[in-house]
Amino acid sequence: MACLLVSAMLASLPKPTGFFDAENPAGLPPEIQAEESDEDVERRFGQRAPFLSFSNTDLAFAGDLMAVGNYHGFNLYRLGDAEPQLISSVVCPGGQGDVSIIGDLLIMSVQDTRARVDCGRQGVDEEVSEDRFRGIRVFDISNPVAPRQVGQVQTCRGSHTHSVVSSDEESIIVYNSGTSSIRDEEELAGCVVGLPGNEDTALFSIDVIEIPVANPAASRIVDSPRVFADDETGRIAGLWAGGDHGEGTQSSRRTDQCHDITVFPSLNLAAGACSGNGIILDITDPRAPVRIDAVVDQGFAYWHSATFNNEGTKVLFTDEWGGGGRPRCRAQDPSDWGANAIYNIEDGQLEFASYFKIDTAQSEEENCVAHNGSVVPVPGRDIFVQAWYQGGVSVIDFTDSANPYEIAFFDRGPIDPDTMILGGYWSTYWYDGRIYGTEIVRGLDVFELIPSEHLTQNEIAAAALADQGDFFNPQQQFPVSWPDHPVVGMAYLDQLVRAEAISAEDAAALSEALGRAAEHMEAGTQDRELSSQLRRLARDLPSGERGSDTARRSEALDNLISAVAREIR
Amino acid sequence: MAWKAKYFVSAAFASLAAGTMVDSAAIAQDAPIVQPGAPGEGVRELSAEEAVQLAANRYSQDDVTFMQDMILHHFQAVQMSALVSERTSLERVVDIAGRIDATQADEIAFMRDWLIERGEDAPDPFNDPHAMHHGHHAHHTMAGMATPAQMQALADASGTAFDALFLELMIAHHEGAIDMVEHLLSQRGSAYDPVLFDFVNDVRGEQQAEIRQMNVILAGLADDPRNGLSAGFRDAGEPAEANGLL
Repeated sequence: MACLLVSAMLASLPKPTGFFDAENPAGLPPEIQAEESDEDVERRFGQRAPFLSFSNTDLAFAGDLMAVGNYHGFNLYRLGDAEPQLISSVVCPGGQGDVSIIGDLLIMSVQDTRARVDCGRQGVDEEVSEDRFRGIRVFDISNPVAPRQVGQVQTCRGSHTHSVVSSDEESIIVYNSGTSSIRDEEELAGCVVGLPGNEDTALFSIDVIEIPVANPAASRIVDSPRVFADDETGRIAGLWAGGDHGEGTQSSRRTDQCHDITVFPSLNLAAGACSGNGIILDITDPRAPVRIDAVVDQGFAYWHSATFNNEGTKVLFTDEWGGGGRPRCRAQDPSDWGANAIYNIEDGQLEFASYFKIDTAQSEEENCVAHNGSVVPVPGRDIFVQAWYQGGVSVIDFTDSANPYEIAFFDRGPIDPDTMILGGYWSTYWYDGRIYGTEIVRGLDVFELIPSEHLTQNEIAAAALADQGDFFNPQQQFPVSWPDHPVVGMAYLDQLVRAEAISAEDAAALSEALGRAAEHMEAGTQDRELSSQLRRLARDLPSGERGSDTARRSEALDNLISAVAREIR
Repeated sequence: MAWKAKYFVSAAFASLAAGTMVDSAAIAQDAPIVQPGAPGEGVRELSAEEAVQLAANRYSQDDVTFMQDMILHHFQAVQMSALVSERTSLERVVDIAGRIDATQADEIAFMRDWLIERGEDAPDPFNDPHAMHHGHHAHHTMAGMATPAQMQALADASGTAFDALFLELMIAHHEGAIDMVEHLLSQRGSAYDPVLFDFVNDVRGEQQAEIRQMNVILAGLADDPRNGLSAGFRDAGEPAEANGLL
């Protein structure tokens, strides 16, 4: 039974043909048949993993194109007013299948030892084989119904996730985060496991990959910087060594890899969620990232992902306690383990502000922990929509980074009543007015926010007006901007009203005036008197304490009113 | 910038109706399905049926190959056991051969059923005399299999020489079967079917037990006084001639 608070599901698309086992669409483990004499015994299931995985994974967007990653390949959809339309399915097994789109190129992460250069499904038997592919695949999707593989970069630990750092007409720079086993040196030169202390090891680095746009076949690793090195000694294992932080604290993984890196190019910053640490990198030279801060967190088992707010002044890190395949949102699970940790960035340094974990008791049959999400671009607020696996979708406000709170959610019951199936939401991202969620087992879900006491229709409409640019790869964040449209002003106004920072009378007058201005702008007509009235009303806006949310919103509203007043004058 | 007309709202902000699109039925949309090749290679278009077949996930090709190979592997043990009655009267060898013959024949039937139920090719060595020599199942590729020359030597032997050769070959043969099980279990996605998983564990367990028994019999064939000494902490068996111990 699906549960719904304030986000409405617009469409729920099952997985495409060929992306699930037709005999077992839910991916249930095989049931062990009970002996005939055993009645009323508990259902029992096989414990071994199947050969193939069809988990839906990450998403990327470009214009009206959406790529849905999957362990078995990827699917391309055309977005419009109706439900997303599947335009092609690309079979190329390898996991995890994280995707990014830049121009006509689609980049995909591959890590499985059975993944093949030729996209075959049969796997690779030999320990060392030139058929094995682990790393970054590059596809040409200029003809999206028949994507061609045009480039490959083999890496030592495969590619678990990747982040597009920069791109221009000549080249694309990508950071690769490999988290899997190190392959045999005979298969790929330089892939050294090494004893502890070995400075040649393929651990303790990220890969900087360059993809020449005109010739992706020449894509290569340009460097594997030691971003965890000790500042003073240069020892490559310079960050968290693994283990707990004292009695009653979480055991954090050794920092020898990043799981995910999110870049914020306009501030030359990247936030890395790197196993035992959260780090901040200066990416002024994208080919040579420099670590400028690193933090540990005694509640974090495994630093998993990072998302900036729209201004790049906060980072929301997630902790994937249990790796995503365990139920970690049960009543007995700590609320600061497997949670988000929100940090303010002050002069390039991370300052802890708060934890957030969904406040719900999920069952043993629901794998649940903090996972991927994106900013919902409501002007004047920091809002984040997030996947929690079978814990569902949660939307939080972290404008006050010390006091985040939930404003909407969507959740379903477990996939099976008796056994935990790895399922639920892998990623949920806001794109062009809607929320797209990759449900690992069930398919692709599309949501729309609906108004509530926590979120007004104006705020939702203003978010939908945000300009996210020509493409959206969630691990590469650009600040969005909003047009000078009255509804953006009304969103700020609603926020002033919610904070009781403006009188009902003033708010009503301003709302009425902005509404009329919207009609004029839509019709392309002028109204000098209304323009003057707007300017007068703006003078009465509350000033608020310097630096406060009210001051910020009033200023933004004032600027917007000026622009609208000019437009209709 | 161009505003999105659909978001122009009037002053009377009506609340948004939830769900302007209906939940999709559980029917997949149709679209081309392709399998790209390596860089520089073409793109293969897949029919829906082919794509569905590629996504069949109840068992792996490793499972199928294992079962096909193991049928032939087991069958050789049956062939070796069939030589016993006319070549030796040593009861312990006759007993173990009888046990091997029965279990391996049963297991061959089980493996054939498992393959046939899944529409896979199931070798039938009992009725197809060429099964052992055909295709990619050539038995010389399988661990522990006796060569044709060894099989001939076994057929030509009798008495204690037969007993010793039989046990040596069968122990190697069983160890090969255990290697095959372990290789299978080390393959990703193998033995996902719990029936198959149980079966291969049974095969491994019973062959390990039979190897232990055969080791004891083989040791007993030689007249080395150090064979078959009884176990004990202070009272372990010692050869009668052991007279050097102070």
